[in-house]
Amino acid sequence: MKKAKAENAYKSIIFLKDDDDKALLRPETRLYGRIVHSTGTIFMTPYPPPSQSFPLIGMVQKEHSPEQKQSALLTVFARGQSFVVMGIVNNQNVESRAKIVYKTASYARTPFSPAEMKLLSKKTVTILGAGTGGSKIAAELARAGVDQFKSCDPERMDLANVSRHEGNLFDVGKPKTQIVAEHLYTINPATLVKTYFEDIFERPLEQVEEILNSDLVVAATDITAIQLSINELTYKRGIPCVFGGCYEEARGGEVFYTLPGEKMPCLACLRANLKQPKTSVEIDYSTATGPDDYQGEPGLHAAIDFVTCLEYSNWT
Amino acid sequence: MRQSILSPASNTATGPDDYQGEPGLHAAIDFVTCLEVQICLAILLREVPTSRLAKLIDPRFNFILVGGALASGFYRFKKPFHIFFQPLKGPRKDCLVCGDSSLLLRNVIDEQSEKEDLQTNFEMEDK
Repeated sequence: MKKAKAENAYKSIIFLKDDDDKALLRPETRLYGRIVHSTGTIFMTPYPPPSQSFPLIGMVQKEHSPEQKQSALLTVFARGQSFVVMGIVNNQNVESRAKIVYKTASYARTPFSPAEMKLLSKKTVTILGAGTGGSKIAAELARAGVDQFKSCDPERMDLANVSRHEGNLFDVGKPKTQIVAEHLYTINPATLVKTYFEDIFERPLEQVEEILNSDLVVAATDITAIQLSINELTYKRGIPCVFGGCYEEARGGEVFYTLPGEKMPCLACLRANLKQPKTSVEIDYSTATGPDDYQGEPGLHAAIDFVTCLEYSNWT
Repeated sequence: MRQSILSPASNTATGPDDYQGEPGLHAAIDFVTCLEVQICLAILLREVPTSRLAKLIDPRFNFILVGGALASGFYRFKKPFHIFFQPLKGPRKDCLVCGDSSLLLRNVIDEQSEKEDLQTNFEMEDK
């Protein structure tokens, strides 16, 4: 073990939702995160992760004591108005002033007003289905500022899902709900995701209704019978619901929404009479690569994706 | 790809095997989900009177058809990337979920509106 004086090869970042959450950085608070050796970054946050993928790496203490030098955990303590991170990383003594970053700072430019941003952060969205559509919608809403989710899906990630899911090869075998929760944590660690790795419709009705109870339900399942059940349950409970689906080989798709209380057809009305597309041929798509990163505007990612998806198609 | 008549409105896949060997499908599906996300945000922001996105929500137009790159001639799509609000006549009066006997409307497609709409792609201001 190197005993040299502290080296500042590593910089520390503590992520918080907003300035009010600075109060979380009190003694005995656990800090979770990752050390990225390639960039020399120690990333920590007090919000508990959904899995071990972001382990406990630090602890807030009143002050750094000699005994804590033996600890495997990094020590974080207040020094004046700042926080200092001390410990051993990669056999090096590390002592660095932590930079505190806030979720709100990630919205450098936004078409949303402060009132809209505040409202979105208080909304809860239930997403039924954590597959291609469900995982994508959850990620986009989290990027746009929604902070509370319920994710329901009884399936695990399969190798064949990788080509279109928000998860990747390292997620194969995991419950899809867990993948969604972990993905949202990497977008905003302060996001609260309640996962239901089960067929929730096997539960008693009152429990199903409790799960659906939220500001918006997204029916991200392509099973018509389940969509119709969701339509009935949400309509009768007065919960807005969005239904999405792709036609065969994603040549097209549809988005339908219901706002209980408004004079508009519900999904049962729609399905009763509307002629649906025929299923037919096989189409082989060309390969597609991902877009560059877009920063700073909540809701913009989805809007840009809308265009970049066109671009993908034009390249083929 | 298996074919199904049980779930014609959605992707007909019944399991992971149905999706093997479809490179580019993710982008094609994203095309629909990106639109869906913005509808979700618009609904969530309805209670903010000044929200520009919330103005997207109009109870008369709650059904959007999204044609992708290969949509031309498929279903109601006339050309690639054909996106439009499909007009509906309103709730079915005999609907067991939302039926309202005071409404004399049916939710069959308004054929005249449909014809007009299909010719005026993206002109949603005219709704």
